[in-house]
Amino acid sequence: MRAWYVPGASSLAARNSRWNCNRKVIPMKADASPTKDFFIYMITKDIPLDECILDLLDNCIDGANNDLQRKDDIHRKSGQGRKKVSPDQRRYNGYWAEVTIGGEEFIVADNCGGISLDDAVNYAFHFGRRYDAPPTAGYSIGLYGIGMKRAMFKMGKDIAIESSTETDSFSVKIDVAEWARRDAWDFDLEPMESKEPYGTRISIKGINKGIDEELADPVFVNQLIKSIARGYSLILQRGFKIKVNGTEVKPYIFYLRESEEFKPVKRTYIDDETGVEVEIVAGLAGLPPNDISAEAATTRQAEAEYYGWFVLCNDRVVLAADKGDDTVWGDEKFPIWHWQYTGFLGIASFRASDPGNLPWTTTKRALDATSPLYRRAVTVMKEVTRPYLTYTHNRRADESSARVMERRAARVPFSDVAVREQMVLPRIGNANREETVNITYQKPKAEVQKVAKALGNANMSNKQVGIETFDYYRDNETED
Amino acid sequence: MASFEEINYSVRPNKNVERKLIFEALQALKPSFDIESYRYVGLGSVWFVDFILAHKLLFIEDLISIEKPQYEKRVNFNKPFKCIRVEPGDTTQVLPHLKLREKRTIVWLDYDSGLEGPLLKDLEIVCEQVPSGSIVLATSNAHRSILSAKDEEGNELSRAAALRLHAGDLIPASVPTEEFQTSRFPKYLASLLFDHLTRATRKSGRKERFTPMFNFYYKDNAPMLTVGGMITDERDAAALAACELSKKFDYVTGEEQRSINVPPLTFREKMALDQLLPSAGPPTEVEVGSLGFTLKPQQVADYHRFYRHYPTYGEIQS
Repeated sequence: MRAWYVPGASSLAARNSRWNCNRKVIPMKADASPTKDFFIYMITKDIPLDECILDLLDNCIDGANNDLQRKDDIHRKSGQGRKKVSPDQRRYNGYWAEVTIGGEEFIVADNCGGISLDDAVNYAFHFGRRYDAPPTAGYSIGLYGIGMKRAMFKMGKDIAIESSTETDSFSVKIDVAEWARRDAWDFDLEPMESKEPYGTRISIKGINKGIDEELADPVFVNQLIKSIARGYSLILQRGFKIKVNGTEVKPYIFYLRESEEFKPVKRTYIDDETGVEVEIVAGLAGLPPNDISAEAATTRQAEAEYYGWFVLCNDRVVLAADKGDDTVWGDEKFPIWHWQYTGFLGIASFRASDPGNLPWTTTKRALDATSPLYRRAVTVMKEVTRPYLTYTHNRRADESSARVMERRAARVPFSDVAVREQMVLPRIGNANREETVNITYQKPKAEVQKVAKALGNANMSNKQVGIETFDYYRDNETED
Repeated sequence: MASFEEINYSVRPNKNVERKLIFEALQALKPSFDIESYRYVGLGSVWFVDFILAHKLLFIEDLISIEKPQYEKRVNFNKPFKCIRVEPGDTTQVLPHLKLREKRTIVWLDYDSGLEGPLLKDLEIVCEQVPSGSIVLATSNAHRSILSAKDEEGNELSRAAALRLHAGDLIPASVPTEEFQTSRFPKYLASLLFDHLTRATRKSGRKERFTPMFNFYYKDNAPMLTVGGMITDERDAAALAACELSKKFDYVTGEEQRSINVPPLTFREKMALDQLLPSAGPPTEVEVGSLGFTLKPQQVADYHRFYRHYPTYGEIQS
């Protein structure tokens, strides 16, 4: 109920009365109730289309987590002992989600157990997670109660959701324009026959202008597949299958190089204040560039999206290949990213049974940079990055022997890296080394490319062309 | 070495036919589009074959040819008309300075190179800038050698990865191997170029879209393809549709690839065959036989399709 205030009854009101000489009764409470437009048109601007689709996939994966938890509970209650719910190697085996992007319709369907009628009536469609919502399964990735609705509103006007669980099932049809017009906020659930596999299917038609063209762009779809491969790498490796337009997405495997000379650092700790499990891994992943010219940088542009710092929350990539001050680069006095650092891979992983404790924002594709938990982790990230930066400077004293060692280091999947307090890096440029000089010269690009081709690799770096032609001359024309 | 130093452009019969087809179709735009007031931007080389057609058939009087600086002098000497301006430099450097926004343009980037060249970058510049009603054409090498490449470390790349080296995210995570077959690859490459043209136009935030018109494949020496279309706002899209080009010319297909593969014929053979034409279908084996020589039915069909554009060459005493 609104409170009404009679001006003149207090000093505040007295001040007010000067503006309201006719002493009209005015309400002294501001109306802060939300509008539907805010949800349909405003918050949908906060998130790009690809991330919306990832939000829908997050729900599928959380569905699988809940389903696993439920099965475990049944298992336990039936007295067969407790089955552990933890990131087992293949825990998601059998679970899948399929994204279908058609001309007129966008569909995401899964077999992840479905939304129960009770959850649907009370929680799933609520804008914002209700305080009394039952806890989700541990280590989930959905938490704000906004992702699914935001994604649907962003994409289209004609939405149909079907969900079947073992015990009940329902469907919802949302005509966004009609819903926006009426006062009530509820969506009508229709009972329906349960269908197997138990899961959820969201279909969006009446695709919004702009979104339709983006969805029809094969480059968008290719990039989406790439971000799924990278963003859900760990989840896909544990058996979850995601298909996009019929193509199964293969997880991108994060590797770090390991040998006598190179060993990645891996530190793990429990954050004191929040109880969040933190794991920080960093090291050499790709080959650092020998040619640090701007031109060489563009030829290796594509690789860049796999280097830098990655931040994971409950196994989901939140920040990918960061080269800015969202992680360490250029943060306070820390060096900004330089092309010379290409080949560096760092992964900071945060895990918590309550996802609310993790340092992510509502889009789950950005970090809450003010989170003390995250700031504490950044100090460790900086500490483990520094030796690598020094190495990239030192290696320039003798790039060829550095390269030999770098190549010798075998690629080890990130999940197999052993705990190690410090990164191991080789010492470059010892005193016994022959004295070297640098030679620089310019030649027409076309000629250098021609020589590179003749040397057997059109994509050889300019620097390598220089070295190989020099060696060729030395071997053929000089005598000891 | 520039390719014009290796071959005389004007005597490549399939290329010759392609050029005539494209200019014939562009001529047919005239009732709805004021083609005479357009600008023509191309890579004229020393031959300027396309420039001559643009001036003679389309009446264009504002023509720009981009040429490498080292050939500037020779190219200037060879330009057939005063209204052609030679802009020295690499296409990627020159295109941004041509003030493409100020005038409707026919841009034909007729490269010898393929995806490894400046093609994708240049098309992006063009699609971002040319006004609605402009025609964008690009010719690319379609040889499969681009599919074998090594990375910087010298490791052999997969064919998709080799393509990705040049075309980035245009290439999906996995490409069906059929696409790399000799018969499929030119079609696949053309589809990538259409994807790129569509995306480059849309991504620039403009209201216009790319409307595909041409997709030709031919092989005089190297396998080549040409794709093209118009940058259209709603009005121009309607005007283009009203021209009904695809009804008038069966080679204006939109995105579907047409092969141009005219047989090498002697002047005598050509003249004899022409006396049987036009005809609804290709002349039969019996009909050709009655002329006093034989050809494979496929050759007859290929000739029949493009007989109006078939070039004849003769030596000029000079």
